Amino acid sequence: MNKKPDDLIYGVDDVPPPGALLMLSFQQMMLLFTAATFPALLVREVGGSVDIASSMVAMTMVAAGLGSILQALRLPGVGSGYLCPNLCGPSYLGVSLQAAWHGGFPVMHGMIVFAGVLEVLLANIIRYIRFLFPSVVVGLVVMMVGVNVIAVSVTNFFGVAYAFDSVRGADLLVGCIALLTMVGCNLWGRGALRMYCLLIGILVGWGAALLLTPEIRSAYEVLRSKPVFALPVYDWREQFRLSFSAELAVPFIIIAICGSLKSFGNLLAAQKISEPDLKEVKMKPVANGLVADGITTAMAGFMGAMAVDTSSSNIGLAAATRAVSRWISVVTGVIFAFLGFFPKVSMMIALVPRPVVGASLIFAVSIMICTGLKEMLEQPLDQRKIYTIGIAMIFGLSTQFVPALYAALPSAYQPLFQSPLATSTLFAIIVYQLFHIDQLKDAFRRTHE
Amino acid sequence: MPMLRLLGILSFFVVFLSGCEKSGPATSDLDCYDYRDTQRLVRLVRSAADQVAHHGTAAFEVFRQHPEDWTYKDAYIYVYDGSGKCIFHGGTPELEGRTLWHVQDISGKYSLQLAFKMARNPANPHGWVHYAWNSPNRLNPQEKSSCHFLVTMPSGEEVLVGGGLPNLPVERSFVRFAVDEAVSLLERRGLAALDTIRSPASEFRFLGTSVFVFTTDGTTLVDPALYLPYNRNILNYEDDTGHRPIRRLIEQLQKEPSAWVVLASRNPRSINMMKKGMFGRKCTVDGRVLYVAGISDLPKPAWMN
Repeated sequence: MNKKPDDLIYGVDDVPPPGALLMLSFQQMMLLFTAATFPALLVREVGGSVDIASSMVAMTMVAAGLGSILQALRLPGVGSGYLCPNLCGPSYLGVSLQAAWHGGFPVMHGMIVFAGVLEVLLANIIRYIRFLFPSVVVGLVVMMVGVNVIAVSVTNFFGVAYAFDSVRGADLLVGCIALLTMVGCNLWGRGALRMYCLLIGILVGWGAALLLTPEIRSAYEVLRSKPVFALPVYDWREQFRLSFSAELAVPFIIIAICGSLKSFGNLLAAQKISEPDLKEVKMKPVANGLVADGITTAMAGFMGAMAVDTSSSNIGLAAATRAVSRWISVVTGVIFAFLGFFPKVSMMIALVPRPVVGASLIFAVSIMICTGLKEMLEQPLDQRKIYTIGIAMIFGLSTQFVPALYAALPSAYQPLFQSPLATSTLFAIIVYQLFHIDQLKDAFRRTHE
Repeated sequence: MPMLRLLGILSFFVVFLSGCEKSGPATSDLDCYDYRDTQRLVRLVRSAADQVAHHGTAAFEVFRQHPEDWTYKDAYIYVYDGSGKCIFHGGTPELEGRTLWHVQDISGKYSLQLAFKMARNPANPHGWVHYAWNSPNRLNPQEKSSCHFLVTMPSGEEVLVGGGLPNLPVERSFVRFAVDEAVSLLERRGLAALDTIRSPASEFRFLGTSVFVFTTDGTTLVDPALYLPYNRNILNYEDDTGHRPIRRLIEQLQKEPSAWVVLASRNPRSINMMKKGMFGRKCTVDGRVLYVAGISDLPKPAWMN
């Protein structure tokens, strides 16, 4: 068992008391709901029915829940043993949509299984390349994990759903109230107030939204038509049918690599907050975590769900509340999977007002970014490190600043420049090795000693 | 000192928030619009129309004295009488007193005549008209979308109250209204309506969108993109993901009276594909089954590049 660092309330192997465990898990689960609507969005865009959408949302929740459990347990060769829950992966949204258009949901599910198997294979390679991840690269990756979520968090905070739409003062006020409550509880609160700061912020923000934007109440009318309990299956034969498309292999291979890089970053971040005293990255739990991630992705495909991915913001929340127990992830997974069978409850939680979702993400992401910065700056920066960080950050952030530039690339390369995280990770690894080429032999020898 | 600091922070929030759009009451007939700007514009024009209906021309003084209450972004209120004479104009007061019945935009649209027509059209509940206009302080034309309401003043005179916003994103409902109107026109006037639907000066061509008509085998009667001297077949048209939206639409319309189908196209300015929605309806004209459809951009998630 790992020794718990002094500044953590619940260390990675601690089992919190039942009440605290349930509350902390519920808090983590609230953040997982930020992506719960992606499957519905996908189904709507390919013209699928409401039944298919409901089933896809529920099945994705079940897959994400099971994946969170698998990730936290330390089964032989599978699972990192860190608090690193799964949510519906936005990185897979684009290619899944393409597959669903191309050959319907059987192709989409088949290709998700294919990507999951690839992620498992990639995980086995990662075990042998520890030398590629010195602390400066790890810190940068952890920081970029947070940067990756900025666009989603800020647009939600401002309550804006669609590009070019206007911002309402009331939404902004709700967002500010929720965020200030979360940060206030975390900064000046003690005990439960501090530990459940996100949950308290969500409830206060939700209350403020009901008072300040009463029109959102109409959205809750949809709950009436939802059953209390339902099996998330719309068609026993069709839902579990799998198909493969050779034409879609390349985009899915690329997205599997990018997805692995993202999960790799998340797992490094989870390791960093769970075991802050580590001097070097422990590759075994990270590789096992990637295996769990791949298995979960493949399982999601088999279940007729959307691909799932590790969640950056949940790791940030764990850092903020200083409760990183992997058992929180297990219980979160159980609740999330369980709620997949209760449409009325899951739909109600999914209706958390947008600015409150944004505030929750900003709260969690702030911690992630600073954890990465701290790791990067822990050791003195020499010129090689400065250029590694600078170049990787510049190219990573440029994917957000000048997206049109990368749109001109051949389509096969475009997924590598779709997110700041994947691009920065790739550049950091390559550039660091390039600038240390004269020291490469020594590093390789050290790794194998 | 801490009190002063707190006051400073609070004043920053008040100033910042006062510049944002105000929250409006939930109005179910505005739920068909995706964008808040559209909803806000309809609320503004409808409330101006209520003022004119209750107070007649006296309402114009209220509009002039409190312009901040009767404008929204670049939108202002205007009022025309039944002859097309401008009796109030919040944007360009010099137009007041002028008759603009025959004013045309650069594509030949009689915008005011269309406004009166659409305000009377139940298929277009908020009287939407899309046209090019010379906004105040501009020399070049700007695409503008305006909503209109016909009201009767206390004097018994019927007037048109309207207001519009330049560069409003295309709402899915705009396409639905246009397709519904085209179906209604075809059912009333038969194939003779095709010339009207095809005309660039009609209400069926707006903001880069055009209503088109095709037969059950995919042969166009009104082309979605071109003025061709022949009819082409679009049945097997494939979008950038290999999806065949026309076939899909026809399949959907076998099961339901109207349907939305999604199309994807590569966007040279973005890594993400551009998604468009195609709304279609089936109708029978002179014993022939025809499909009427229109394409619009789908709202893009705010976080997507």
